[in-house]
Amino acid sequence: MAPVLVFWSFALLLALLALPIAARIFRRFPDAGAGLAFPLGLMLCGYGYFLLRTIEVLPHGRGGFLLAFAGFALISAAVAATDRRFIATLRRSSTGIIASFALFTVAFFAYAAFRSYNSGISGTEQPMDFLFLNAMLASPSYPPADPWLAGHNVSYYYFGYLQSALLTGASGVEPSIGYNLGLATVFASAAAAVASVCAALVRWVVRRERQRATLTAAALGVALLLFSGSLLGVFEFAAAHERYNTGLYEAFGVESLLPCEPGQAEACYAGPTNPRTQSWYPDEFWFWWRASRVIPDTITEFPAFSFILGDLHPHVMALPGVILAVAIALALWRGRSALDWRALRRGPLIGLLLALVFGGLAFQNTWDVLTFSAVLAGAVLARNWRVFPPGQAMLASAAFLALPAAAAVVLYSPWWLDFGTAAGGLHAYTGRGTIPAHAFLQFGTLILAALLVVFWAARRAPAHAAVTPALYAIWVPIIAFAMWALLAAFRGDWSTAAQERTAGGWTTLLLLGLALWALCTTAIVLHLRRSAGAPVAFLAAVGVLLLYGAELLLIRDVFFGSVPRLNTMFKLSYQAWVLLSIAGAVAFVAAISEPRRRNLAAHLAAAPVALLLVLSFAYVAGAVPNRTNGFGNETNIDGLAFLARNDPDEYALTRWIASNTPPGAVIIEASGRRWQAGDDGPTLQPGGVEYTDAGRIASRTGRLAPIGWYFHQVQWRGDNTANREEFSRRQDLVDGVYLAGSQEEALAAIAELGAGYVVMGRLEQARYPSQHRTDFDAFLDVAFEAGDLRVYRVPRVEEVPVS
Amino acid sequence: MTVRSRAGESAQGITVSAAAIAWIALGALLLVPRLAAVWQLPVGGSEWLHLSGAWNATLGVDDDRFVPSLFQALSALLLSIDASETLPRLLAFIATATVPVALYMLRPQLGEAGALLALLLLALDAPAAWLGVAASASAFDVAIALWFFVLLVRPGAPWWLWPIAAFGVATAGPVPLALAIAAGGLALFRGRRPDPQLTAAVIGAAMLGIVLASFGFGYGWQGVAVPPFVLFAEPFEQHWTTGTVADVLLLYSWPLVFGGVVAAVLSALRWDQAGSHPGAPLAWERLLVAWFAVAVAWMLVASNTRAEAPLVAATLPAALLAGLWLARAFDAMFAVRWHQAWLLLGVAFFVFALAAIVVVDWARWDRVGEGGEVARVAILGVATIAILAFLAFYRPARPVLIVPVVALGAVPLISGAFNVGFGAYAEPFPSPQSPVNARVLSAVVLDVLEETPGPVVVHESLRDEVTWPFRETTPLIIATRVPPDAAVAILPAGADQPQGMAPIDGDWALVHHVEQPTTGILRYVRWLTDRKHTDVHPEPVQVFVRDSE
Repeated sequence: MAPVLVFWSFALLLALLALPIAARIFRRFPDAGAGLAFPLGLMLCGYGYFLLRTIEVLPHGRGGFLLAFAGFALISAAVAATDRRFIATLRRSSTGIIASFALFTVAFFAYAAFRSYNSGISGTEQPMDFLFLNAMLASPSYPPADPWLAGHNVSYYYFGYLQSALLTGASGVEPSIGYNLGLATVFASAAAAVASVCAALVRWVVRRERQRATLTAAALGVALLLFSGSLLGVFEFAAAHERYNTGLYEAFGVESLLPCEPGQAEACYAGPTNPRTQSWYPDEFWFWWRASRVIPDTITEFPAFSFILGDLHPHVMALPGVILAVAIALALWRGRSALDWRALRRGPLIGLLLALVFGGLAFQNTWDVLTFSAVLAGAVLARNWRVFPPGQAMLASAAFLALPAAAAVVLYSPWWLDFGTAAGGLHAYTGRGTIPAHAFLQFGTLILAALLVVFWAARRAPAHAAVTPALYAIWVPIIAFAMWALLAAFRGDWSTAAQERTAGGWTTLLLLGLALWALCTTAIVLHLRRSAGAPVAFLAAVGVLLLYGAELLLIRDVFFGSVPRLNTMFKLSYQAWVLLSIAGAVAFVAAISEPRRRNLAAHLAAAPVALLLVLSFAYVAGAVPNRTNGFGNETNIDGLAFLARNDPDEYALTRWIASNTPPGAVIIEASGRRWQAGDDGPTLQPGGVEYTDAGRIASRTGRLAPIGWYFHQVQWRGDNTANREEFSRRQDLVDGVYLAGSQEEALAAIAELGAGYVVMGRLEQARYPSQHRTDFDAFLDVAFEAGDLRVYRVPRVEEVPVS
Repeated sequence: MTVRSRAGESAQGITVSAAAIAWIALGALLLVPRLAAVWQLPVGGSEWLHLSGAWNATLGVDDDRFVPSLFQALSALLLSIDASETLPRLLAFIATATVPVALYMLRPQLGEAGALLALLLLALDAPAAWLGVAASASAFDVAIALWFFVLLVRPGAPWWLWPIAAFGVATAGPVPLALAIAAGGLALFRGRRPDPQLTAAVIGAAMLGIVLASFGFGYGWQGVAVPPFVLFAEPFEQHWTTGTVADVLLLYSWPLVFGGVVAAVLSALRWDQAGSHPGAPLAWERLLVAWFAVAVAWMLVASNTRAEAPLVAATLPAALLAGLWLARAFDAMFAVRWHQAWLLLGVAFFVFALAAIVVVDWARWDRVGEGGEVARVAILGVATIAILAFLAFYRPARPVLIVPVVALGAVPLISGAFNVGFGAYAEPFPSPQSPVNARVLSAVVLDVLEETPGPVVVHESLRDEVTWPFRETTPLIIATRVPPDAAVAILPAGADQPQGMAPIDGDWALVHHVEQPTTGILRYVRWLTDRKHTDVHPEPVQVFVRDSE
């Protein structure tokens, strides 16, 4: 419990330190931005640490993290001092501030408790996440070294890991605990941040019963973002209790939940039946995974799924940061002055903040920077539109945004220089498209909730007032569609694109296009009437635009040949979930806060949405007990406790390496490839090394391995011949060390890899046949021994003068 | 408390004030044990590492133990003149000798009595005494921090002192860093806008210090190095002392830190009072509280690390705060109704003494007594607390509570300061130490080499321990395996005997650790009453020589 408390204290401390800055930007928020102070503190302090480590001012280790905290405290003091209204803001918003910190605390401990039932860092891409966390903590220099490719820096968007490392390092908890508490911090920060934004929006939108509406919107925002899930959860519950209605299942495209017919082996349920579950919830192993794969050939992950799975991925860690970005955009929109270059001159700090936060989005999860910069640009433009004529508003907005954009590139240049993207340009999506049933299951609840803003707006403007805005707004879906058509034609895919898309695909496209049109029209109408509801409609429109866009366009990456829109749909729908959660929560509360007799339509529309909202929580209701075995698992917050329990020798070996080898040490461990004994020597077996224990020592200690997961390196550094050859060469060298014909061969390979240690752990014993294995005892020093596992040290001789 | 007493109505009319006598006496109390420590203190703790680093710097050997603080650089320079630790320690002592002067200059703030009491407390703080005389990289820290505080709180300082202070802080250890952060934070919070030229000069001086440190003050490029940052950070990764900060605090400095906390709370309680209120703390007192708060935060965060500086960073402002409030408390004692207070105090002492005698007896046998005995001690303890609580609630007598508190705190402070200062055997601080045995071993090795010339091989795990005792001997081969031509091999205990070599008999050790008696209250009491009752744990090594046959 002590590490959890210490970690939580540091998270809270960082938020307190960020509060003066948050209060200055979000003065008009009910909590003075306290809920947003968590991501803000992490981003700003994290950036300071990154920069000062890069220029070698801050030392490696816990002391460096603490010094970053101290430096941030000084900045915080300076900001508080120059804000004459700071104390008054704190007093006015004290209830909101306390509520935000309380919400963070409750969410943090609740998630930590949940995670403790399933704390193991193993499976899926968790070893990779742990690797990056350890890289941030252990790297002797910055930008951090890549522990899965010794001699190279990390080529990934790793700001989220750095932020988790900041709290882990400063609080001094073990990285394997910091991993799980980092997840808890992200969960709690996202909760506090979304509550803050929803509360602010509702307070601006709803005039009556503000206190109740504020609380309801904050709670609903948290619920929609973090607890609502795919409506597949309802079918999962029904199927688990063997309530089958074949027609309904087929109508919703979830017939794979039905039991297999005789002779059927795929796309059906083949597990035990009668009963199908032993509990009140579905107890099928990882049933909840299916909800992230509802739309074929895509990943349709959503926050609740992410937190149940427990991968510390960039898009998950970015959640609080993107909500912060949205909040900044909203604060600027609701500001009182024009946003042009003069605004930057008057308040250069806002420019710096924009550069740090929005530049940080790219560093955190590169996909986010375009979307949320667009949200910012839209907000700035909307603000200026109230002050200037359209042309001048655009110029002023461009002038306001240009400098922070340039500064963002410069400020994060140490990272950009190392970052190699695998993205290969914009392409038209030429597949079947998403059928309406699947789109409804995944996004229906949120889209319909967000569309309530249209009903809410209907009372605020006469129908004829919407005609001109509608004529402008129609161009948004049309331009996106035209881009698709042009790109398809340009790349010669037009006929394929037109033929492949099914009727269901066209229908979904049309429905999303209509929703987008309606929301864009609403946003313009409300903005022209200076309504505080305009930002809500705008956020909803951007959310739907992302889903609409994912039906039309894609970013080419390494999956282009097989599942082309996998990542595009995954990343864009995740962003849409955030935006629609905020807009949906506010729109729902706004709709039901209307006097019923004045806006019956809004109330009537809200009723089915309310039902859908309730049904969307079925997913979490089933997944949480499933993940924890009905809260029957042994609890431990240490992510390596499973290893200590299952293989104490391997655990001891790992701990020894973490404690006794220098941070930049190159340590040879199994490449992960399988070798089989043969009369003519060992033979390589087919099979990849991804998602296995390959690179586990590097992952668990941050020490450098010559090569880790091969294909992940390809993804991070680009799929080209030179990279593949280099990665293969390293695999060959590593395998050559373990299967060397002679000492000289082994030593030559070790020297070429620049390694100081060789691991003979459980994986090495499994991958390299014993009869062909190099006899390291003969020529290396045994540095550590536990059972039959060893760490060898390459002998060293060095002359030291003494006088 | 500016009582001036005439030292006799002499014919010459020379008068010596009581305060002057006190300044001289307390100055001597601070300096004399420290001067003795220059020669008597065993080389240990971070001093050992930093002396090793400085020594290697003089030889041009790249060594992480050389942290380029100004003192380290000067220390290396002095080691090239004389290979013993004496000259660097004398240099540290000279800096420490200015501490009474700095406190003397703080009289307008602390008051005469407050400054004197602060001097007394600093003199009795064992870790501060050690840091002020040991040749660690942070040896200038106490003096620099104190002078920096003087500069911050004394009005009308000449401008050129600020760049000097900035240079000093930038090239010192981490102790002044806590003050710099507190001062910076308060200044920023108050929205002070310093003179741009002065700011430029201060930043320039700090940058100069960082540049010089990065070049190792001439001992080679160290990478970008900010010595206070490096020395702040390193203890989190390395073990410089046997005991943790918490251990050393419990053994030596708890009365001071406790007093500092109480004093800081008393000051902070008046924080909100209007500035015009006569009792409201002035800016310097707020700075002192902020300094102490930052230092205590650091000490708490670093409580499980093994270094000296985090504790000294806290005891230094604690001494000033406690001195200030002790003086105020003593003033208040004049108004006490002594005739009632004495009686109660006397009873409390008597009851406490009865309980203490039993507890000391338990400590001697390392076991708690029978049930009846425990009950008696508990009753006596409760009775003591009850009497003191009564005094606390009885407003006219409340200030006398300071008497038992001071009496209780004085025991560990006085015994600690003198035992550490005079290098008492088996004192838990500093530890680990470089034993005499290690120097003997280096002499033995030299003798062996006269008969059997060849390389001296030292196992890599002993690399750090061997530098200091083997300085001025012969080049060493640091290796993980003994090469066949080795004349002497020094290996960890339990290592296999190298082929063709024979062991040299003897209990050899390159390092020994002194047990930290903090495992329980009885263990602590036993140590407090019988100082020598600590175990010394040498880390044995084996020494092999080439078999002449």
